[in-house]
Amino acid sequence: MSTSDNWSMLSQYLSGECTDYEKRQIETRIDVEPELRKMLQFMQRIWDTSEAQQPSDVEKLWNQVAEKTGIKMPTGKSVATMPQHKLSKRRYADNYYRIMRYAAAILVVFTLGYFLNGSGLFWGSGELMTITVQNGEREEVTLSDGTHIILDSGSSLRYPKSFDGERREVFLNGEGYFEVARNTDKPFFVQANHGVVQVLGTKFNVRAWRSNRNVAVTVTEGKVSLNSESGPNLAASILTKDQFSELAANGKPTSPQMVDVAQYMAWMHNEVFFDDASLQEILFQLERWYDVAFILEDKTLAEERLNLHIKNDSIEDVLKLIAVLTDAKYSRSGQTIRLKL
Amino acid sequence: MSFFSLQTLLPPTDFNESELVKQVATGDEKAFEILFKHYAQRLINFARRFVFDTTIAENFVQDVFLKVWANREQLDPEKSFKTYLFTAVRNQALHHLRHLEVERRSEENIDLFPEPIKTPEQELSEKEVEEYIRQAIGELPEKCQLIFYMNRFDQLTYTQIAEVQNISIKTVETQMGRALKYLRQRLHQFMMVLPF
Repeated sequence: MSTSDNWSMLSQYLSGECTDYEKRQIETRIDVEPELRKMLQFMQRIWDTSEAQQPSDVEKLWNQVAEKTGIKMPTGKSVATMPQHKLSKRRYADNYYRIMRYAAAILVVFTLGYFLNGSGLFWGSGELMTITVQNGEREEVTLSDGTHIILDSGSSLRYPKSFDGERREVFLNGEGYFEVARNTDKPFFVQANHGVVQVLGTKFNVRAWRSNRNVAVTVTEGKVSLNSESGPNLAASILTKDQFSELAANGKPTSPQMVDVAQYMAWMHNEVFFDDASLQEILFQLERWYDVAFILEDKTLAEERLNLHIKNDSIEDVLKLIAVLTDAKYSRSGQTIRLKL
Repeated sequence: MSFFSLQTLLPPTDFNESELVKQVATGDEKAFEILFKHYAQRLINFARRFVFDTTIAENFVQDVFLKVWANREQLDPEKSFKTYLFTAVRNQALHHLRHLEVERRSEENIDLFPEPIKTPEQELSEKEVEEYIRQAIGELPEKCQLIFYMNRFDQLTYTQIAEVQNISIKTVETQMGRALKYLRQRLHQFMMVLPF
């Protein structure tokens, strides 16, 4: 790693600029050189750090431009009246975190990639199987130890054909409900994003979509430990029945919190509760559930926040509801749905 | 698993630049507004690296868009509008700087490795670490820093940076490598404490 060429290549890799061949070369090396892997993860973290900037009042700037060019401002509700652009000073902090979240989201898959790609080498017990649930579907899988898992639409799970090692370990992207068969000699681990859920035998729900980097765990029975992959043992959050904890990107697990567990498990019965969720978040779920694709013609819609309860509703009904709540219009052709103001 | 494809998530896939540019060329005000709002903040951030004054940076960006509108018939949807915007803002900024004869910072500070105030053994909050990283980026030589910012925060590809800065892609590669090397050296003490 000493020559400048190597540094150029690594930065090209991190920037997504290198050729497929170079990419493969580096990824092969990552697999066999733990030091390089560690270093790249470290650099990735630096790469992910966002720029601290106070956002400008783009709306005001636009109005000035619109006036100077003689463009008449549209009347009624337009992009111009959407809250995202009303950046009062008070909201700088909020925006900063929003930007940070975007920045963190850009390369989130990368870090996880090491663990998935490397898993064959590092946990090497038994052949790894992958199950990926199609959108609009839900699947159940029973592992070799009797553990039963229900996976939501769009989720995927990697697990060994048989658990030969000292621990039982699976990898999740998405949302799943686990009923882990009790075996005190072989603890069960769920690796999800950068989090690790450890249990002996119990029932719990894990929500960990790669796209937002969060790991959220809700327990219905028994005892579960949630921690970040690299976190010290002391930092782990120990959850029991009816408790919830989540691990934000790069963060520590939140302290256990009593929740209405039924709401978190409701997805298994075609029901979902969104509490002050962004439309983007909601559409992400709907895309998977109804196997549709959304196109936002007005990007400001993505940040609209709403409360929504869906239960066995048809996509048409859900769309009508969203249209009313956000003041947006939708048009549908096949599996593609466009939303605009 | 493709991690590179994620770069294309920003800007979102429903943003069709060349289509919008085509519409602006025909006088579509809505398309112009979308483009302005899409790029304004990023261009302001970019301009601020030259002038350090937000109001001036904002004026540059407004002026560039006023020119775009005035000359909209001549827009070429086949060419990268993004590259055009960044180039125009850069030229505007450099023009301004030439008038001010602002002293440029030295490139020599690459060899300085200021010690962090705390050692990694001490408890560092997430925010402090972020701050150190930003600080370290701020210590890169001017040219190197600008290129790094353009790639990381303005989401310009190496090719686009080369075009805007009127330098070779090879130079962009070298400077990015230099940035990485420096940041690694400067921040290596955090390697053990950063959570992943």
